[in-house]
Order: sequence, then structure tokens, then C-alpha cells
Amino acid sequence: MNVRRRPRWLPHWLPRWRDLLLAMLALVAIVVLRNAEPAYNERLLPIVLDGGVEQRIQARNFAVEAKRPKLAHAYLVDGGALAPDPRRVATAGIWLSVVADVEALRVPGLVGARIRTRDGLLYQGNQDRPATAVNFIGKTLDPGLPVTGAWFFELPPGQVEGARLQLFWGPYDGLGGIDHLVDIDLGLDATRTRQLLDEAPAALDLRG
Amino acid sequence: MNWWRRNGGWLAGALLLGALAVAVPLRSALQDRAGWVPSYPREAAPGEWVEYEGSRWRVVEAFLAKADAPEVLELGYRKDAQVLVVQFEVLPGRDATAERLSQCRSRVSDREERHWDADTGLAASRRARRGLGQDCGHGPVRAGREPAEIGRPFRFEKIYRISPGHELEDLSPELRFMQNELEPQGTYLRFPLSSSTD
Repeated sequence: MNVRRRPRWLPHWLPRWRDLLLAMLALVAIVVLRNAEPAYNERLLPIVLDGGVEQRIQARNFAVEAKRPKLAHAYLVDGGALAPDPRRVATAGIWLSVVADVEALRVPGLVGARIRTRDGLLYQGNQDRPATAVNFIGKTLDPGLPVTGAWFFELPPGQVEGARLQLFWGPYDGLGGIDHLVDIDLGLDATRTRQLLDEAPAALDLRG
Repeated sequence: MNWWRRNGGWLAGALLLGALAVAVPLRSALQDRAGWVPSYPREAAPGEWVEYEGSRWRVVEAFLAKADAPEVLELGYRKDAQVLVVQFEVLPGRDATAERLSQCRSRVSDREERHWDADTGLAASRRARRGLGQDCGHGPVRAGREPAEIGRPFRFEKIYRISPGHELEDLSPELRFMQNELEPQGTYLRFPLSSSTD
């Protein structure tokens, strides 16, 4: 039927207009789709869950409710069995701590934490400083057994304003990829930050 | 109609290729995953022996206790946790060695597929003082770490600290080897418990 509509003067090896148009459309579609394709590292980016303090946020394998952050210039911790005097854990900057309730939902494991400042710098929580039982870093959580503890970060005082708490499943940030990243607004606006910096104690007692 | 008849072969071929393009990588990805995630359970009937990695295994006894029960209070777990204690027995096969058996790992799962790892820490060694060890191939350190022998039943115990509110029937302790030698990689043993087990 189609063959009959084809003009006789047209050489038989030339494609018809409709086929040419379809081929062009396919080419355009290929170019558009290729350009829209996410890059390899974009495909591994975490799925960000936004939240605030005093709000329960449920990620793939953990749920968290963070309290308001605190600042301190140093901590007092137990000196250990050989040193009965309290030990002072100081910092060149300022300590920021966030108390939270955290619960593993499916399998045992760790929840890692870092601070993201407003200009994009990342500060990792430290397991050894201050060495106290409430420090979350390195602590294994079990499903159905929520734990209250805290994360501690050393920050330059100028980086406190606008800092956000980022939490992820496992000890390494970003290496696992394609998982939830809980991003908590700590409510550290200019007024609140100044107030916290003014009230920050010289040494916060963490001895249990 | 005519069109479908003329192009049926191409269409079927294209569909087949499409299906293969999904199925082949999926299969190989699942096989890779089975190398580090327990993927293929082998269920044991309550109280029955089950064959795994050349040896035979069974659950002898299991009990569940609140953390404040006297027999587990000394373990020093947190107060709101429950404790599951499972006694296993292994009949080492012809090619089994105590070293190989010692590589077994254990966890317990509930009906919602939540997992808790067996305790290998201080609490477990405290309980080991009463006789059974936690190691699948050696007796407790206190009793000289006596190795399991071929053809002789060997008993060991696993302790799990789990969330409150479970019944025995909800729980299935599991045993596995990180690297399987005889079974397909990712195969593990699952022992659904029943209240008559204890």
C-alpha cells in the first residue's frame, strides 16, 4: 500500500521522509537523554532527609531525635583507674555537642556523624575525645534498643553559626553511597549562636 | 494483523534480549551479594539435625529471659533488654576440624527480619564459666579450650541481647560461615524456635 504511494521518480534506495523524520527524532532523543544522564558520582549521592531538632526522623536503618546543641570550651571527664583526678579535654576552637535518642531499626550497626558548616566544610565527630560513655561514635546500636547519647565536635567559633548535623548509617561518610543522609538544622541562627557562645561554660562536667 | 505476523519474530527476539539484559546482571549481582550477605536460608525443623558444611547441627535448648532474671542479671546488660540463650550441638563430619568449626558466626532474626548478633564480649565469657563455651569448635578457655572431635557431638552456646517483647516462636537463631566450602556461597542455617524446644 505504502509502496504504491511512493513517487516513481524517486530512487528506490532513498529513505522516505517519514523514516528520516523518525531517525532524526531518535537521534535528538539520544542526545537529550545522554545529557540528562547523571554522572557516576551523582548516582552515588546520598538521599538527603531534612529535619530539625526535637523531631523524630526515620532513615533507612535508623531513627533519630536530636536535642538542641550546646557549646563548651572544655569538658571534664573521668581520669581513669590510675588517675583519680578529672581530666580536662580542651580544644583550640570550641566544643559543640548534640544529645540525641538513636535507634537502629533492622540490623546492628553504627551511626556516624559530622557537622556541615554554612560554607560547606565538614567536621567529623571523634571517638576518643572526649572519652566518655555517652559518646555515640564507635558505639554499636541494636534494633529495638534505643540509646541516648551525644556527638561531640571541635569547631572554630566562627563556624558555629549555621552549622548542621549530618548523620549516616555506618562509620564512613559517603563511601557506601546510595543511602539516607539525615541533615538536621540545629537552629543556630546569628542570635542563638551569639547567646550560646556567651553562655558556653569554661568546662562542662561529663563525669558520670 | 499482518504487521504483527511479519514482525512477530523480531519482537519476540527483542523481548527475549531485553529480559536477558536484566536477568543476567541481576543474577551475577545477587551471587556477588551472597558473598557477604547471608542470602539462602536452610531451615531446620525444631529439635532435628540438619546438614551444613559437612557437619550436622541442631538446637538442643533455647530460653528467653528478661535482663533482670537471676540467670542473666550477672551478664550486666541494660535493664530493658531481653536475653536469648541457645544451646547448639554439632556432630563434626569426616572433614571437619575444630579450627574450621570455630569460624562459625551467629545471629538471631525475628519475624520482621530484624537481626541481633550473638554476643562475643564480656557477658558471654561470664556465662561461659558455667560450662559451655560460645565457640562452635572449642570448649571454654577455662576448661582448656578442648577441641571438637570428628564423630563426637559437641555442644556450645550463643547469647543474644535483643529488644523486649519477643516470644520464642518469633525468633530464629542462625549459624553460618563467612566463607562456605561445600554449600553455595551465602547459604546459612536457620533454626525457627518453638516453645517446646526448651
